[in-house]
Amino acid sequence: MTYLLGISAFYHDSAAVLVRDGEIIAAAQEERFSRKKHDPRFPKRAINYCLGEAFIDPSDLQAVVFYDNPMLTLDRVTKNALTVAPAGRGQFVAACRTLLGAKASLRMELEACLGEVPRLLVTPHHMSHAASCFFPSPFDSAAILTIDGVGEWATCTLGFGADTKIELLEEIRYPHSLGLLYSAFTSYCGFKVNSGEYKLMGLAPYGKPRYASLIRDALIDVKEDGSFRLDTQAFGYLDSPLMTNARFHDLFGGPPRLADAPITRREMDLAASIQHVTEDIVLKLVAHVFRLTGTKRLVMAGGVALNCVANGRVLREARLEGLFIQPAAGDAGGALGAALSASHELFRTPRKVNPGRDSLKGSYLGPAYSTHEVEDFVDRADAPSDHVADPDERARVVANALAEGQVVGFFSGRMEFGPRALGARSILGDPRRPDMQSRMNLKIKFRESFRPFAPSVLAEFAADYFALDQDSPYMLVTASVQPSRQLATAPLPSVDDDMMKVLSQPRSDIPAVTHVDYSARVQTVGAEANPEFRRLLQAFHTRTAYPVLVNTSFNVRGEPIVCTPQDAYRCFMRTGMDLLVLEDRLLWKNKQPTLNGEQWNAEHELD
Amino acid sequence: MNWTDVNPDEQSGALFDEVLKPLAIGKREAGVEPYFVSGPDATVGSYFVPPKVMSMTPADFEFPGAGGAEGLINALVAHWAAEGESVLATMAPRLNRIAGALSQAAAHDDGGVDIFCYTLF
Repeated sequence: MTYLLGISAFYHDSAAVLVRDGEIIAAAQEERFSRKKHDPRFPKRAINYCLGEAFIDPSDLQAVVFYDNPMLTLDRVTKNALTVAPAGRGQFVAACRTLLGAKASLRMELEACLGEVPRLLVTPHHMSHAASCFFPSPFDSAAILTIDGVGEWATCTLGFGADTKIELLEEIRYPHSLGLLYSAFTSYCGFKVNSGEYKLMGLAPYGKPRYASLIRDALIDVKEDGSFRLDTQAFGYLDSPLMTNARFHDLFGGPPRLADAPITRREMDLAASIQHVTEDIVLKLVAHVFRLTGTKRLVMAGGVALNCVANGRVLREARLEGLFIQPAAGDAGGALGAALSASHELFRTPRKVNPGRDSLKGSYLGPAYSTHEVEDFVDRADAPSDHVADPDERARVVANALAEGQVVGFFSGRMEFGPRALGARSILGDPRRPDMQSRMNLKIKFRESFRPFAPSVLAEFAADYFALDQDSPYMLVTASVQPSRQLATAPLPSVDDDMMKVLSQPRSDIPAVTHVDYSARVQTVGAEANPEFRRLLQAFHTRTAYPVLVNTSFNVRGEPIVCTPQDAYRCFMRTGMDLLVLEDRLLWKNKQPTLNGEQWNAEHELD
Repeated sequence: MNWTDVNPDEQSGALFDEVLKPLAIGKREAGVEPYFVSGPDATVGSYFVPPKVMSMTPADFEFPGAGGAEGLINALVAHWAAEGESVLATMAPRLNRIAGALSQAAAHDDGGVDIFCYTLF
């Protein structure tokens, strides 16, 4: 057997993935174990988990594969400094700290973690992304599109995968980057780069794309084939610690929004504008890669592939014959691609393709906890619980609680790999309730009130609720709520800055998951999904006639998604959740002892 | 002076001030083509370029410098030499000293990058 360990680390979202003869055995991000959001450190805890999941020792590993080439990144950093000097001194110093420090000491880290250093391999950053989305896909061959901030020199690559080979055909290089452009607007609108892009995307439907022409005229030139180049004179990231500079600020009417300042019409319109421009570019890139490769099956990865609104437009408008987006599309997924690339292209492992079914196992690739471990935990924690051994009865009780408006923390089976909760580590609610979105945002997640929640729907009923004609198991595309379910809303003054007025109007019979533009980021829950979660959806359907639940990740703002029963209980007790399901045990909030002296917001930095 | 006694950030700053900055200014004054273009070009039909690694060969999987700082720097110097960038290759001793100082300071480094260091995306 060939065991390969993929690693991503030392920028953000470090992760480890174990592959055995091409099969993905385990995958997890370090943050889930260390409890530090976006943890960039060497993923020693994730590695320990992966080896333990497979019951192997480090000596069983044929190789460790790193997800990008630090030598080429150092080359870029040096040449960037030579291009912008005398500016950019601080950037160069900070880059040296990592590239000549932590990133250059991978061998030492491996030795400390594993007790030995297996054969050490590397794959280029965008090749890792390409491999992460093509090899697990349900396609024998497919066009490949990867888009992110930057990896080594590339920011976007177009390629073709067939059987066990990937060929990258064209690329765009630094400093011209769609990911960095989107991040520049994220930063300008007062959100954190690397975590706030999702907020900007969620804000976009509140605005109008009135700056889109200005962005195209002044910031980015897009050719017919989707290739693009930025006017870097308006950006700060080449030579300063800021994404944007005075020229950018002059273009868009003033300085950046401060993080704690109110969100105004300007930010809403900026969000709508950059979202619109991004979608148009992605669509052009997709059309071009189809022309290049002669196929209309598409696989995507890279941070920009997490833009589910753009993905939704690709699904609707690109005339695809198939779409697969790898759910850990950001850098964590690079570990997956690194291991799979080496497995198929170096160790010559044959690739098994199941048409219509990817090989990611629903992305349930993280740790699970047995009912005995849960029992031990609740005993140890003196946490009163009801043991409901019968799965159908358990689902019925939980569905009833949801139907009565209770909010449920749901912990079941193996943890998801990637940023989305898919029913293994989820907080669930009733989507029919108009107050559920604001309640879950403010009292459970403690996050901004404008952010939408996603629906999980039984796959066989998805088309009754959403304009979606293919499965979306990983919650990576948006689709409109079916027109027959939409409700008309009262017109608001177009200059109104109060998002709450916009937000508080019910827009469908599932208002808690219907965004202001009637869109929803859908997870279809089919036979391959977590069986316990699917059973709960079926029970909720039986109880309410609605096969849909609100599904958000099991964490609070700034906290990584929970991993262990302890994490789940702590999060449950600190928030307004009513019921915690820990495998076969139900823990009701009103039966729990008071948790004194613990403040989640003192522990987790806000994102 | 013992170089390992000097703060690695100071050493990186000194490398920037004493080598990179004069080199950059000299190149600019001599009209040398920059390493990348800074803006759009209306005269070209496409901005795509061929990838540096189009498909993986066994050699492409070899980790540069086998995972240690000295090996990484040697690999980079060889890369620069192959590109005809012999002046850059002369930085090797200073890069090694920075790596050495960083390795001594490693206990205080969590491997993270300054959130504002966008060039490392």
